[in-house]
Amino acid sequence: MATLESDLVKTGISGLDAILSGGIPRSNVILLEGAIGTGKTTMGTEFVYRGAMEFGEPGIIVVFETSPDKLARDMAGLGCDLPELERQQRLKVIYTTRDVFRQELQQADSLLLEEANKIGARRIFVDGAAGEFALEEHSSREIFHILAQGLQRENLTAVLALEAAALNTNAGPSLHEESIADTVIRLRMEDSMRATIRSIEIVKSRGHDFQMGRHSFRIIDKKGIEVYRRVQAPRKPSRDEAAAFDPSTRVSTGVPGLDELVNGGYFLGSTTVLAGISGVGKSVMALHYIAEGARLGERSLLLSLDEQVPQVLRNAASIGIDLQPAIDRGIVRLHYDAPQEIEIDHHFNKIERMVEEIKPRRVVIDSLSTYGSALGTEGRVFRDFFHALIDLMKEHQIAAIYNHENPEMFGMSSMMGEFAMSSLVDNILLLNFVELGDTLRLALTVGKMRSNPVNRASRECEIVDRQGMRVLPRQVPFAVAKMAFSGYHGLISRAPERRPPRPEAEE
Amino acid sequence: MKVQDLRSMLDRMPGIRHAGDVDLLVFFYRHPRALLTGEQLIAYLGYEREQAVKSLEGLIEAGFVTRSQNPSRTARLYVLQLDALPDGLLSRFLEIAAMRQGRQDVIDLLKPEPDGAPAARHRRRASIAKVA
Repeated sequence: MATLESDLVKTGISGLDAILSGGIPRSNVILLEGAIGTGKTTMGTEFVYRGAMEFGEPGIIVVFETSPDKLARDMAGLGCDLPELERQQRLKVIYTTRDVFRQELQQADSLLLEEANKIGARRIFVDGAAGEFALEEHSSREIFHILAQGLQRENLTAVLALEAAALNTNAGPSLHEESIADTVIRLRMEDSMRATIRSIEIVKSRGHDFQMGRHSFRIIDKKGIEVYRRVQAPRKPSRDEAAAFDPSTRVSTGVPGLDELVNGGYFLGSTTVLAGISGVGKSVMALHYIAEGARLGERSLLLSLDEQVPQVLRNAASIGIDLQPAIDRGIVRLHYDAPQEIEIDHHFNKIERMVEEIKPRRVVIDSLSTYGSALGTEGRVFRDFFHALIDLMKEHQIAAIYNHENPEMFGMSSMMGEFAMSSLVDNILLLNFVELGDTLRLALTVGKMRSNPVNRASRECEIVDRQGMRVLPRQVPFAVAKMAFSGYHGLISRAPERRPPRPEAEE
Repeated sequence: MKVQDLRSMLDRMPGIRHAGDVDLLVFFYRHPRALLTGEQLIAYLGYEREQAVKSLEGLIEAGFVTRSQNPSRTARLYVLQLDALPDGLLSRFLEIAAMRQGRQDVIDLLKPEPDGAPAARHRRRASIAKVA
């Protein structure tokens, strides 16, 4: 039977209620498991704190090892003022020992529960409640059962922290307390390359649905805990329903001469990859795209993993684009995230928030290859991330451009190199160097345009200082000394050749 | 804080006569709501039983700490009463006494003189009484 929303106790911890499908059924006994340093005390305390602060539910915190003044100090660093709540009689922090606590819960007139009643407590957090009560399994089960009964009698929603060192590994027997608890939440510190990531997993939760798997979380100064749903987890249904582009509205590219190659622009909600080796002009093209949005008063977001914002602004200035006024007006946002040790759930959450806040029509991601090197292209993580990103953009009907560095200097043997994901992409524009005589010239070919007629003729581009990029007309005037691309074939192969002169009848 | 100011503060605090009183009060400052047995409290304090009991009864009598009334139970709930003295005096005193140097200064003021004379904090009061 589904739990009514009103019966759910919201934790108030950022992101946690979303993976709990709204909260935890009232009066559940929640076992919070994890090794030392995984964040159990912080999470349990914040559960009670948020209850009192945000939902009008007073609470009790019971500690055994931590002294209450240190707990208050530590939580103050996370933006939680426990002493103030105590002064307002909305919180009590009680220091005791496990022996006393066990005896208390076996008493019908428990002092501890009497204290809870005095302030009308609805939540309780017991830090280190279980696990160390008993020496053998039978008595441990029994004592935990007594504890659960005592808490249930008072209709308290209880979080009981349990230290379990073995939980940082995947193996290990399950704890007998887990079978008695209504909800089991497991916190871990996971190694990722040479970094460590905090993860949270809802192992079980009676009476409601929740999102399984390991999600990430962070403990942030002045903010407390933030949980980030794992990037692979399904989002709201509207995201899937919207996962198609608007086939009627086009977004202009901003590069002179390019719109005619892409039938007037990219569709709203479409995914476009600009593929080419470093230096070929992908970022320049993307800057034109953002500048065009600014010119039209459309909101844009550029997310860079390769270059920091001042560098992006300098690059733009060098091709005659001044983005600062648009940034000042709030219609352009440039955001840099360092690719080292990128934590993908957190990173994706940040992009989601920016998209929801800015509501851009245009987004540029620079670049996919940097994600690839940070996440590894062979595993599922990168593909799942890219998939989630595309779905997010489609849900918000954003025309998104992804720069992708294709490592091949001349010619192309595949559209997206080791990223075997071209099927996810609507449009692919190939930017390529072509060596003609003693000069590297720049070629642009539309490799793919979903739901569009495609002209795959390679066109020459040029990037001019202070002016930017433009796509040259296919037929250049004879006055131009160099021969036009139409005079060659095999341009994006490794060996272009000059066409033989065409018979007059064909001209 | 100057020693004179600390002495003046102590003069307005009944029930603080011994280092054990200070340490027990600081324990309750750090654990303002403690559910413990008497034995556990004595063990945490680290003083002789007699002194610990004396200190505890002194703090309760002074109104600095309340103790739950259920003699049948081994554990009692002790609650620090920070507003037991006017003008936040107890809070201010505890902020000092909870620091290492502050505790030392307080204990020095409470020490009896080597010749058996009253503690430094009481000498001034005694001389005032004599004059009166």
